[in-house]
Amino acid sequence: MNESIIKKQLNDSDDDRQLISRFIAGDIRSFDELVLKYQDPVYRLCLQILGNSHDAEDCAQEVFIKVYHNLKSFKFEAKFSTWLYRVVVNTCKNKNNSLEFRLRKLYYWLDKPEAGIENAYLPELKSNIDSPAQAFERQEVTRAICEAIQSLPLDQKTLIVLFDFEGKTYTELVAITGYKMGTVKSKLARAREKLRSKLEGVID
Amino acid sequence: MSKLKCSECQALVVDYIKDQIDSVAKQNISRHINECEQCHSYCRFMQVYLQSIADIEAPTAPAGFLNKVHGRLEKQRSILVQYFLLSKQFILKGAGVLTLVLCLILLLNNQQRLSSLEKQSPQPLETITDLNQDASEQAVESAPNVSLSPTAESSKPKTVPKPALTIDTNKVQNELTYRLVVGTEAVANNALESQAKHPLPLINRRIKQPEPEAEIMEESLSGESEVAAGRLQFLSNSIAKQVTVFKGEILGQNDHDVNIVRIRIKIPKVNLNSFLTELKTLGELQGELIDQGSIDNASDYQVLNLELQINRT
Repeated sequence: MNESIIKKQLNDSDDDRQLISRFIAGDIRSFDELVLKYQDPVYRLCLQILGNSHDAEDCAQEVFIKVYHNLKSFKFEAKFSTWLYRVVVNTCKNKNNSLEFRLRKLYYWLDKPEAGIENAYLPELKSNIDSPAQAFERQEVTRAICEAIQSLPLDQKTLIVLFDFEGKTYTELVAITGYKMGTVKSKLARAREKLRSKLEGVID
Repeated sequence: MSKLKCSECQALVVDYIKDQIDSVAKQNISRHINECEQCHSYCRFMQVYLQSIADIEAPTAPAGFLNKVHGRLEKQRSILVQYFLLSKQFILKGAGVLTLVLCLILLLNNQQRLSSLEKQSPQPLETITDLNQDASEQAVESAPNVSLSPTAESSKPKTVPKPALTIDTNKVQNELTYRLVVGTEAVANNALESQAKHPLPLINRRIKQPEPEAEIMEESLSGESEVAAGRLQFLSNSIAKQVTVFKGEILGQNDHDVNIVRIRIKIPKVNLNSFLTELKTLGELQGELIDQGSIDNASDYQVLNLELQINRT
């Protein structure tokens, strides 16, 4: 791992520690700073796990409400970001298992079976200088990949998103998900196998 | 240099693509990928897959996300406050109702206790004499030779001993006196009925008991006299019941004489008329009422002297 990345992480960790200490001391504005700092990764993670912008926003808000209520009990035993991701994963899991979420998905599918997921996450590509044909092809591949990821079981999807999208290490995955190292690796391998079989024909 | 297995190679492919492994491992993987078609295809897939993911624009949180979080926190806080206020209000209301109920229970309890005390223990004679002290003293002084015998008292162990009643209707003021004169026919008829209803009247028990005046009583208690005495006893019992019904109190009773029963009672003035009406309409009473006193205006109670006697003419 690059030294610059490690330095940045350490700096981030120090910043978080200061913000949390200020919040515990009664400075509410430090909570706002934490929200502004982490709102994008939290929302992104929720969106990629739940695959629905509406639910992702709701879930992300819920995560920060939980953080607000539980931050005073944060012991600095782990990095704040790791703790935060753990809260996100658990909140997404609860949301995904909630009856309301499942019924809504079912009703939407029964109503419009061809429409896919309601408010489904449609990935956008970074602006490149590709030709329109190439851009279209890439867009199709990306959409297929995202759909394949969404079709994975929640635990595998969570690991794929954290590892491939968020760039977390195996150690961090262990800390966030609570699985053992071997479990994390095997689940990731199985998820990739499934993705490969689903994307056969799309990615040669 | 050890040869890699396919599973080991595939596990390291991502790190190989991201260039996050040391040079030795990198060389091993490169060699394996070049030799193994399956791992080569897997590596190719992972390269496209990771490149596609890297090309995705990272979505950002919607605008005003922080405000929405604050809005939800505020909403939660207000709900909590409302809940707290509601629960506080509920507790206060509950406490109020409970207090009211407790007060009512205490009040009822007190009333019941007072009424039971009034019923169980009649007011001592001294209290009554306080009310009409002069009149009572005069009455006692001029009392005829009538007194309750000790055996008669002992025959009623459960009742409170009644003081010997001495009444001089001419001298006692603020008291009403009624003489109930009962005809012999009515006495005979009603007494028979009452004897049928009450097979063992009090008078019979009294006859069987050895008393100091037993000889005199035995002489008089024969035939009609016996029936009359039973009748008087029955009437006095009926009057006693009515006194209880009208919340009055028997201050004393003299049933020593078999021909005359004197009952001194205290009755609330509000119930006086009803009580008198009830006496008149009492089935067994067929006598006349003679008013010989006046109403006591100073007290809420009126003392009545009732004389039950048989008309032997």
